[in-house]
Amino acid sequence: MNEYLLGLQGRRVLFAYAIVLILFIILPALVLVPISISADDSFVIIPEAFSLRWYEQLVGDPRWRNALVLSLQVAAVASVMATIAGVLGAIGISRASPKVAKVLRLIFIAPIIVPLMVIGVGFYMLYARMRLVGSFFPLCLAHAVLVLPFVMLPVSARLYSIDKRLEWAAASLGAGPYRTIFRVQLPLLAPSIFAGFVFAFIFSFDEVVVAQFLSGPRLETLPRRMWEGIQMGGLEKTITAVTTAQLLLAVVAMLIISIWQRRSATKAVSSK
Amino acid sequence: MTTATTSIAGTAPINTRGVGVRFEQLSKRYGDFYAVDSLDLNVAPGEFLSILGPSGSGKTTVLMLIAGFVAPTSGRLLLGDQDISQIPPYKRNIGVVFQNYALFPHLDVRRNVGFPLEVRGVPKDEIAKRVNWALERVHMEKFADRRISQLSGGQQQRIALARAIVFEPRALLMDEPLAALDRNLRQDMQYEIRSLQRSLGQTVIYVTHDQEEALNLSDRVAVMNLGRLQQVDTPKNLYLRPANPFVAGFFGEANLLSGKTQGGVFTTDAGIRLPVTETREGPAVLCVRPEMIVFGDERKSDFPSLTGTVLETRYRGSILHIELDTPLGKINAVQHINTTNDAPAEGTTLEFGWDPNLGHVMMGQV
Ligand SMILES: Nc1ncnc2c1ncn2[C@@H]1O[C@H](COP(=O)(O)OP(=O)(O)OP(=O)(O)O)[C@@H](O)[C@H]1O
Ligand SMILES: [Mg+2]
Repeated sequence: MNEYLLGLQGRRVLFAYAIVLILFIILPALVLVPISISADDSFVIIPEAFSLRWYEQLVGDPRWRNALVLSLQVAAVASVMATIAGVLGAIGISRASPKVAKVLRLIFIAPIIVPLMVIGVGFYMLYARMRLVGSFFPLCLAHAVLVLPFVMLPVSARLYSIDKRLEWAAASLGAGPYRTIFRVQLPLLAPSIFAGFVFAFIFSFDEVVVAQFLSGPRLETLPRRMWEGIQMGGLEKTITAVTTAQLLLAVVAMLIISIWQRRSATKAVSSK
Repeated sequence: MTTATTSIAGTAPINTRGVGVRFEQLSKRYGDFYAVDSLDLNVAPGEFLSILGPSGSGKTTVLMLIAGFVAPTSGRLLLGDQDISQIPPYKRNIGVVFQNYALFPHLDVRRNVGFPLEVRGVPKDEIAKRVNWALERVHMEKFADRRISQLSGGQQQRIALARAIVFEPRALLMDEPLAALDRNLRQDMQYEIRSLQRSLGQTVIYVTHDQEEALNLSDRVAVMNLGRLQQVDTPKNLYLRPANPFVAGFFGEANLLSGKTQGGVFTTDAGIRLPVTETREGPAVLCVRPEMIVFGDERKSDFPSLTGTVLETRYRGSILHIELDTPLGKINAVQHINTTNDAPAEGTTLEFGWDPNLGHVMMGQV
């Protein structure tokens, strides 16, 4: 269609625009990759000598290492909690009456819409009163709330595309509600649950606003460490190692998700 | 296992495994709209009953009520002599075959068919045996290790059928199971469903809106319209003895004349008197099927004697349709064509009548 609508000139402009846009999206992430593996201290984009010293520093320097481990722990606990609550919530909502479902869905999605600053302040006031600021599990819990929508959204979407009659079929064949969830719904939801988990993990892993409010003096998460590093002594190159590692993690996760979803999509389509 | 592949409609089941289903004043209301309205119906053990009706008449809702996927607003539903209205679907032991098959895409054929046995905790070797038995019954034993996505529509339908019979359900429900298949395959499957049902003695309640299918398969057909049961009867009686004009018009063509009947004489609204066998009296509708109408010398002395002008003639295969303009209004007639007769020319005047024993009076209908 575009060929006829735009003409040659138009297509060239559109192509150029697309290239610029794509570069603009991925460049900020990509420039850090070569910097992170360059040997010298300065921020040159095309390095002369390569080294993994910034990665070594990330693991070797106790302050960096502690921050990294803490962030991994928070992200793991938060995303597991969010995944369990989100999957059960999505299934529950799919079984509720349409009116109730509408309200519930809005509540579950709210953490994505409400500004992080607001959520941060809210949790801070709550936790301050309960003397929970600076404790590990309360921070995980707050992050779990934040990342809940990342699980809810893909799982709900997938639930709606699964035929209701599969649930009915399972019931008619003698499977009670729990067995239907474990034997029919969860296997079909697995790719979207994994996707939700990955999004949740990545978001929690580099979340800085809420962490800033709730971690107190003792808990220093990786994004907070990075933030402080930047504020204190300008850009430290360890940061580029962190971001590169994150990038790699995200790319691998996305690859797994897309391969898995393609495989299970061909399965699900054939049932209709 | 006794085979009964040669028996089809009309022969007695070899053994009866199914139980009866009884509806007592069963209703399902959405808002103030009755999807099913005071249904009274008794399905015998081992019977093949079809539910037939136009779109939106409540057929699927009836099946969903039996399966337990929707709860009745009022009334009772009995399976055998047990009231199951309050029992959840997974405890009802009723097999359901859905129009879109509803096979589990993440399980292969064997695991799909074995599913109902697995959830019942049947031992593994017993499951394997029963699954093989069910797959043989639907001629799919070679496909046991296929993925569902590797099966055609007809094959998926067979697997859905195998899965629904493997746990020996007390009744088997099917909602337009063949609607998605092409005509030839549909006829093969009709035959197989019927012979399977016969040999298992399975009670089957089968929803369709294909009349021919309902008539081919069923011991009895329940006709529904607007959530109400119109008539339950054998295919033959539905045709010859329809309970009301809706049923008469639903099965084949019918000439419907309204008027009143008294002492063996039916008087149309226009005042024409016609002989009938009905002895009751009151307002009624007389149903005369097109093929009952005979012309000229073929009429006997006790037949009504009427004349009509030919409006139009049409050949449909070996049958000639004749449309007549008569004092009764438009009358449709059909004749079997043999080599000697020709279609009467348009405008010809013909004398016609019918056997009063065949004309059917529906009382209380206007
Ligand atoms: N959940 C529901 N809420 C409101 N109305 C409903 C609901 N389910 C069904 N109905 C209505 O009940 C009536 C009967 O529906 P049903 O599905 O039983 O019809 P059907 O005879 O199976 O039709 P078809 O031949 O088109 O499948 C329809 O008018 C439908 O709109
Ligand atoms: Mg229907």
